[in-house]
Amino acid sequence: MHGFDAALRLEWVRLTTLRSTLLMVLLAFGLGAAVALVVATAVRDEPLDAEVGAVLLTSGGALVPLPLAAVLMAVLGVLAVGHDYRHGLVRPLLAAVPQRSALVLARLYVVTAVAATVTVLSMVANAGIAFLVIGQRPPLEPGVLRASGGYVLLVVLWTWLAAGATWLVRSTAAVLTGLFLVPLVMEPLVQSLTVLDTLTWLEPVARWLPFAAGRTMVLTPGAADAGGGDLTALQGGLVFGALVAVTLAAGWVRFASTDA
Amino acid sequence: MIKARNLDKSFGRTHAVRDLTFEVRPGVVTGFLGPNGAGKSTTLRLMLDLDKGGGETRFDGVRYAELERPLREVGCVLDARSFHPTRTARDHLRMLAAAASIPAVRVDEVLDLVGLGEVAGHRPRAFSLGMAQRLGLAAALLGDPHTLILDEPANGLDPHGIQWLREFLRAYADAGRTVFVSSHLLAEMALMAEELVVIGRGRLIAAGPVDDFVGRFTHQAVVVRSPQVQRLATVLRMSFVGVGVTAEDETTILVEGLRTEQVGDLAAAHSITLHELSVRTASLEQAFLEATGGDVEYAAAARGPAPERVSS
Repeated sequence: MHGFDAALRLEWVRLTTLRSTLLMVLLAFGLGAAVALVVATAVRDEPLDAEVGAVLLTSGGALVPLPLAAVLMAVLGVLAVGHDYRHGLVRPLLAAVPQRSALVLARLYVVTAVAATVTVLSMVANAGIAFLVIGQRPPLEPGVLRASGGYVLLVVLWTWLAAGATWLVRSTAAVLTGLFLVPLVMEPLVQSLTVLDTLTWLEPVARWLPFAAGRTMVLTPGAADAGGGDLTALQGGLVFGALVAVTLAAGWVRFASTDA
Repeated sequence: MIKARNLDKSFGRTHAVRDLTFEVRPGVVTGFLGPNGAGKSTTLRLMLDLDKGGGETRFDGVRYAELERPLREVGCVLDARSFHPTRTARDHLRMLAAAASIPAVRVDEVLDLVGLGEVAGHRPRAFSLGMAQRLGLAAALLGDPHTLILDEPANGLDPHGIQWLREFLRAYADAGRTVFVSSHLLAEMALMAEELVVIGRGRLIAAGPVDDFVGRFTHQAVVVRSPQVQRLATVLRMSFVGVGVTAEDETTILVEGLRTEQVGDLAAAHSITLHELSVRTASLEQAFLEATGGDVEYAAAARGPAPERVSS
C-alpha cells in the first residue's frame, strides 16, 4: 500500500517517544506480576491444575470484567489516537503521510505489535513467578494454551476497539468512559436485571453482551463461565470481534473520509 | 509552482471557499490575505487535502496526496501548537522525519536553523508561541522542500524573529522556491511579499504583484506645495480635464490623475514656484481595506457618539 512504509516508520517513533506508552507497558508488567504473585502464593500448597494455571498466566484472566492487560493496552490504543485530536497532531501527521488508510493500518500494526508482545512477555514473566513461588510452571496442556492464546487475542481486540472508537468519536474522555462503563456497569446491570420476573425478556440480550462474551476466550474448558453464559470461546470471540469490527470500520471510515 | 483550481468548501450552510482558482509561482514570496473568516485557513487545508472539498491543487503538477515523499516536496505549518506537549522538540521532528526517511542529523540542523538548538531536548509544553512557531517552521523545513506553505508564521514572533523570518523567506524564494504565506500583519506582508492572493468571503478578490494590487484599489496622488498654490490649482483644472485637485492646507494640494512630470512641467511653463513635488503612495493596508471592505465576515460595530448624560 502506497505510504504504508512511511506511516509505519512514523508510527513507531510516535508511539515509542511517548511517556504514556512506557507507563502502560510498565503497568501491564508490574500489575500482572503482582496478581500472579498473589495467586501463586495462595495456591502454592495445592497442585497447579489447568484452570488455576490459566488464571495465573493471564493475571486473573476471565475472572474480572476488565482483564488487566486488555484495559491497559486499550488505554494505549485510546491515547495513540486521542493525542492526535487533543494536541492538533492529526494535520502534521497527515501532511507527512497523506494516505489516511495507510496511517490507520500502520497505527493498528504498531499498537498490535506492542499489545501482543507485552501480553506474551507478561505471561512468560507470570510463569517465571509461578515457578519461583510454587516450584512448578503452569501445565502447558491444550486448555491452558488455548486460554493463553485467547488472552493475547482479547488484548489485541480491546486495543483495536479502543483505537476504532477514538477515531469514531475523537474524544479520549468519552472513549475511556465507555470502555469502563459498559463492561463494569452496563453489562452486569443487564445481567442482574434478568432475575426480575418482569424483565426476563432481557435474557437473550444478556447472552450476547459483547464484553462478557469476549472474556470466554480466556476460559479453560470446564471452567466457571465469565458472564458469557453458555457461549463457547469461539462464539464469545466472534461476538466481541463483531463489536470490534463494526467500531473499527466506522472509525476508519470517519477518519478516512472527513476533515482532519 | 502551485496551481489551485476551483477550490470549494462548505460547512453546513456556510460556504467557506467558493470556486477559488489561483496560482503561486516560484521565485517570489506570495502573500495570502483576507479578513477574519475569509477562508484562508480552510483554503490551505483544502490545498493539502486535509479537508474534503471541491477542486484540486497541484504542486509542480502533482496532487499533495500523490506526492511520493510529501515532506521533501512541500513544507507546511498550519497551526504552531501542533505537537504533543511531553514529546521533546527533537523527538517531534524525528517522528516526522521518519516518514520521509530524513536522517536524524537533519533534525538538529533545522532546530539550529530556527534557533531552537539549545532546547532541542526540552518538552515543548512550556514553549512560547514564538518558540512554537519556530518548531513548526523547523518541521516544515525538515525535507528541504521546494514549496513552503505557512499560515500566520509571524504570530508570536518578536521583532527580531519577524525580521529573521522575512529575510529567511525572501532568501528561500530567491533560490527559486515557492513560498505561500498567509498573514494578517499587512505591514509585514508589504515588506515580505512580492505577489498577493487576496480573498474575501471565500472568493478571489485579486491575485498578482503587490504594486498592482495597491494601484488597483487605491488612488496615487501627487503632493504639491507652492506659495502660488491657488494659481497652480486653477491652471491644472484648465489644462487637464478630469484631474482631481484637493487642498490639504493653504500651501499644499493633492493632485490625482497626473504624474509628477506633468505637474512640474505645467508649473514651469507658468513660472510657478514649487517647494515640494512628490508622490503619495497608498499603503497595502489602505488597498486591503478598500478591496475587502464589503467582504468582512466579522466586523465590530461602528462606534457611535457617546450617549448623553442625563441629569436627574
